[in-house]
Amino acid sequence: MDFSLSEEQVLLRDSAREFLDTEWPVPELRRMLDPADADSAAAGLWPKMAELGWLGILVTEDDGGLDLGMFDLAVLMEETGRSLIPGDLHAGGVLAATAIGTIGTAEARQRYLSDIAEGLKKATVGIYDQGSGWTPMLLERRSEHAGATKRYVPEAAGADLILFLSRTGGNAVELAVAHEPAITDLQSMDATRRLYEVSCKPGMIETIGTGTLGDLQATVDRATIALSAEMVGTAAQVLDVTIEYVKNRKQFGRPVGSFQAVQHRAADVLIGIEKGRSAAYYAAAVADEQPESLGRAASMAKAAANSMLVQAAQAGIQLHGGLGFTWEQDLHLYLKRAKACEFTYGDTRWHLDRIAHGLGLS
Amino acid sequence: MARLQDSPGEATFRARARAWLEQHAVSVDKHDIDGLKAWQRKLYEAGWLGLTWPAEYGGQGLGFREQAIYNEEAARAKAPPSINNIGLMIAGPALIAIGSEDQKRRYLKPMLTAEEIWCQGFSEPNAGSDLAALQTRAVSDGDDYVVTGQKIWTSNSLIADYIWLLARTDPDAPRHKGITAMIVDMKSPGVTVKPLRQITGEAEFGEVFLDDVRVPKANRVGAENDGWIAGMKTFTRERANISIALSVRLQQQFDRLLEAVRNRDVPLDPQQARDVAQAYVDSQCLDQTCERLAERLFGFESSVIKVAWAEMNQQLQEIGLSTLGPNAPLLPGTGFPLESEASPIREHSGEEFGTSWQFGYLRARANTIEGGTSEILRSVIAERVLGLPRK
Repeated sequence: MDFSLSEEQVLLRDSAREFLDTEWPVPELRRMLDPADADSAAAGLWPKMAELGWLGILVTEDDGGLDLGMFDLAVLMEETGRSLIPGDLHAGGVLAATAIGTIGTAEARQRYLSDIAEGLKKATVGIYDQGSGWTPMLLERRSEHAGATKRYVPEAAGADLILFLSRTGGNAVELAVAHEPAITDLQSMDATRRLYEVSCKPGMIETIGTGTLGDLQATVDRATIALSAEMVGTAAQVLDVTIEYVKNRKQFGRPVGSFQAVQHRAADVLIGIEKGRSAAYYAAAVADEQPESLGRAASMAKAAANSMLVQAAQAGIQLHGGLGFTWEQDLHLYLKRAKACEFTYGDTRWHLDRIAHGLGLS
Repeated sequence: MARLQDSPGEATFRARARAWLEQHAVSVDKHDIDGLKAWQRKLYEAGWLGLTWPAEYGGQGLGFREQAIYNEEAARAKAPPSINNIGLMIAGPALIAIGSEDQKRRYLKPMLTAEEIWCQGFSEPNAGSDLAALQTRAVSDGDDYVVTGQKIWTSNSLIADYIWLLARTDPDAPRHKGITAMIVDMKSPGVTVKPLRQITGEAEFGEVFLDDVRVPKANRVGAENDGWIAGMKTFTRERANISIALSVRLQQQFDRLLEAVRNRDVPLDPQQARDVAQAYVDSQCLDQTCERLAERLFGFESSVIKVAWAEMNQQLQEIGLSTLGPNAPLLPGTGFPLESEASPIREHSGEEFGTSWQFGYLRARANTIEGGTSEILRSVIAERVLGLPRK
């Protein structure tokens, strides 16, 4: 194994960092906390990300994308995770692009992917329903001509293209365009990543591809790896912010960062981040090179990311003391992102059960 | 560029190691000293030892990746443990870094061939985590130092030919500045070793008493009063080497756990299965982190691996023990070894006990203490990696 970054990947990381520091600094990020201002804040960042080609990172060159791999994506996502950018890049550039690339017909790929890659269409995908949890086998079966309701659909309100990934019976799934959907804000704890319920009436669902539950889960697994990489970046940012604070904050006449109880908690956060980063990079490399092992690698990455990000975000608040609990400080943004991510695409128990099953333990 | 597969060169090396090990690996009891020495000699002759050491001193002049690949293949082939690990992992690399040309030519090769076994004399009864408090004195007397003091927790001291020793040469200097590193012949008059019985009943390590031991000044390593730097170099090396080797051992332990739970008559309950899956995630993450941080493992980052590994192994052994249910507290085989005057304690430990979860659980309690306690290492991570202020 070799996880060193290529020159291009280093450039991608550094330029992304510089771009986000300039275009999505904390004051911009905090505009997401104001419901009246959030749409306009997110909309301001969108065309600039599109211009950099980020929306087409996974799309082939023929379809107008950059045709990069999952490892490149992971490198970029770590940086977007640091900056807590809104969810439209993930919803369109990762989830929708992967779903169409995996399950869409040739015609659908031609029709939608270049628009997504160029940022002309904001896309998102609804997968789960009220009773499914994160288990594809538990998805409600959609029969032909019926309507459908999807929950936890990211960034649906601002989307120009809402796709439904549904089970149609047995092992079969369909990818479909949801026309004239009814959209309800589900009020996620994480104001920077909004989740919606989307309903579509009978006759308004246009199938654009068919596949298997395996294809559906593979799409989710790739999105999971991208999300895990973002979570690593978020945790690394919390740690940086926290280290800076405890170096400067003095009590008992000395920096609180010199106290062992503080030091050891910070050390544990770093250990978690290093392990989580390894798992995310490994899973991204597996997605590129050994797709047959995708599921287990994605579950390892997400299980590792869940615990380390929540640990980091909670430590961030604790080590900032009372200030960490205030709305004015940014720590709650990271904690809310952490909890929202933890319960996206499978919580820790779900992924551990999946790994245990794969190991023949259940 | 990221890749999961070996490079063509690495693949060739791996295939060569695998083929050789498949043909030659034998089973040697961990208490069979002569057998283990013979095994190490065989490894040396075939070119599998000192992989990262310079060729002029009997090494192979290869890189970290080859060492990691060899470790993986040795684990896969269930090759015997290394008898001279303190020499190979600690004293040898330290000598290569700071020893004189004469010392390198004299000591490195017999270290590789296991003709001479090494131990490390750093810790003392009053200098454990606070190593700079060490009190063993070395007084200059003509061409010799006269050394008096006591070392403790000295692994392999019962079978060692040489000890890589830190002693205080200037009691008036600030405590980090009066320490000197030296090589001491364990057969020197005045050296006495007593086994220290561990909670497992075995005696992997001992106490070394030094009573007016004459050590030629030619055996000093590095400059007088410069031993702290030498000691610290040794320690970073130790942690890096332990990280690499132990990550592989952890995968072996996990495979053992998997085999044990698959062979059970009663299936695991969902929470137990989840615990095993969590151990799988953690052990894989650790392995991947070793690979990812490979170039930085000789720095303070190795502490990250050491802390994670130690806690991981404890957790793994606990899970393994818990799979035995009500049988968990029962000692398998001959149970705790018996002490006798006639022979060293270690020879009495039964093989069945030595490979059991009960032994593994008890032995793992030392993981968070040996090679730097997890408390000290967390402070190292905080201060040296994260840059937090010292008090």
